[in-house]
Amino acid sequence: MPTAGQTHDVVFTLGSDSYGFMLKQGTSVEERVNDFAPSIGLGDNPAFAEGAWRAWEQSGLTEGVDQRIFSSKQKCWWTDGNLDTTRDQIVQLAAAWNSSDASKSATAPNIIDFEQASTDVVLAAIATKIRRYNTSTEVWADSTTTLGANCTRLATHGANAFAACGTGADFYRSADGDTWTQPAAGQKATDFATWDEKLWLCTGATIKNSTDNGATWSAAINVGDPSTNCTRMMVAFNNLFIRKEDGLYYYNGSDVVEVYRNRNTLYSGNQTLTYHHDGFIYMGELGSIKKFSISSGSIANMVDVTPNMTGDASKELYGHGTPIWIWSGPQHLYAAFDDGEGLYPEVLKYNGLGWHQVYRGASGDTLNAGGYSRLMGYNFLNDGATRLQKMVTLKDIPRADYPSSGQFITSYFDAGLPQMPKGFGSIRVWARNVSATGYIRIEYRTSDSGSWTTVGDVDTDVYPNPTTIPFDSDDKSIGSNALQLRFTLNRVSASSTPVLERFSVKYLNRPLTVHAYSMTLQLK
Amino acid sequence: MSQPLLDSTAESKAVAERLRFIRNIEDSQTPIIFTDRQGKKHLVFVTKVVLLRPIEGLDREDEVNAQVTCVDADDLFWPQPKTALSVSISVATVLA
Repeated sequence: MPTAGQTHDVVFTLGSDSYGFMLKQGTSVEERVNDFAPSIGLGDNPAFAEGAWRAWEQSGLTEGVDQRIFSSKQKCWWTDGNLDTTRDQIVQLAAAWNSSDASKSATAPNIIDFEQASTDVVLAAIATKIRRYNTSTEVWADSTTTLGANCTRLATHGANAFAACGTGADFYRSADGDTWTQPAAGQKATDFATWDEKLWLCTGATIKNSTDNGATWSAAINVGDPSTNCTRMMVAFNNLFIRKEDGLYYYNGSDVVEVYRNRNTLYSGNQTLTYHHDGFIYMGELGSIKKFSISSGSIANMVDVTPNMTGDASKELYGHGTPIWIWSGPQHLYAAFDDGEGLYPEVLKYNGLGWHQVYRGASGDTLNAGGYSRLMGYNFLNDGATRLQKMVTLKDIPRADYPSSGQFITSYFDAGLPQMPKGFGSIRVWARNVSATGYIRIEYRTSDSGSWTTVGDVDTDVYPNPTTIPFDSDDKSIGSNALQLRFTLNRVSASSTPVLERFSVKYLNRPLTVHAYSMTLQLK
Repeated sequence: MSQPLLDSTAESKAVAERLRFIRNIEDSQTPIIFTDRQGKKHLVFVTKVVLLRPIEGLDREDEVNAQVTCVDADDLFWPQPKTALSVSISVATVLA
């Protein structure tokens, strides 16, 4: 058996074969052969720094949340719901969610506008009372009438509001939102819709229509399986769409047409269905959200757009939760979810590119309802209290009514080379409207189990030159395979928000050393 | 005449056999173990082999040398391309 240094100069072993060789004197060389980083320059002088560094740069988060590992420069991993991330080149505080009606749990999933002869109101169903939000005084008040059962859906048609009580009581009608009467004895309802100049209701597995504002009703029209219930009605593409617990149908005035039915998805909570002005229908199904269009009466291009969370077991098991209501805002689609991560009430909005966190409530609370008031330009939700968020009139842009802070966490950035060590030098931040009291704090960590280390605060408005902060004030860089950043935007006042326009992190790949060994073997 | 080794014994393996081994380790898609003179082991791939032969017609007793280059295999995660055999074939012909 050849032994290096004893029988032979060197030995090569492949499997069970070992061969020794003698070397020609002076030919043994060992050298580093792989790429290596040049000396690291510190500071901003391009002559010393720029040529060697690479950059991880992001400008805006228009594709939203839930990207754990960096891939798209328009996404991040997580936000706390206090940021507006839908616009390119801008991350700023969203409008604050303020409690507007404390200790009130909604029993209908929708919150709606009701324009009437006197002051317009916003309606929310709180058990057997209808709460009215006066759009002038901005104060909630109970309806005078107490309903015979919990209200489970609200709607308007013509000059009236309607309250469905499911199977608990006949439906109610009101001209002012305060006094409610039951105009049609024996008529129960799950939901209402206005279509073909008629008022429609669904109950059980049937639909009916009324031409006299709900006083008298047509014969019932059967929809699908008589053993499964209708849950929602909505008008799109000149048809009346009917969501059932186990499928989707439409009525064209003469026939009920089955769009699809899947018994395996039967669920009483399959009650979300809306037409969004991007030309698509959005629908909740179990824990998913489907997006599709209709072509010649059939589903075309159905895709699953459910937002998915990653990062820990609860996020991956429960995601953002189960959709309980979906509605169309001025620009974006809004979805209210319950039990995000198994715990949180959440609202997200979809801008066609991705989902953006709009609200993340207290652990353990239940998301009961949501809606948009065009009358007020407010978003509403109910999770044990009715809350409102002030938006710019007719737009999905936050009004200057900012929360004290908002936070987002970036994806992990590993340059697509997760096992390669890197040196992260500094971060450059382009920001506006920052000061000593209204600033952007930057922190980093290099693993999920690592604690956050403060890099520094961006508190000087210096566009177009960035604020540059090194990751370590003593060493020229920090070493890690990957990096994750946390940005906290702190306001100056409720009417002023810092704006993050762009950030750029300088880094170097620092591959492990690879050596080559060359020698001349003497074979004879 | 057999090649003298460090322990004053003579090399027992023929030149042709050792050349065949070099070709084997050159083509190996799994790393091989290179043990240097200090007994330190390196997991490597053989990336280059150059055979240095005497000019035709010279004394057949001249030494036959092989330059070998190896590279650390520790940080390599994909199979190395198989080395072309054309040079090896011509060497085998000469040694036959």
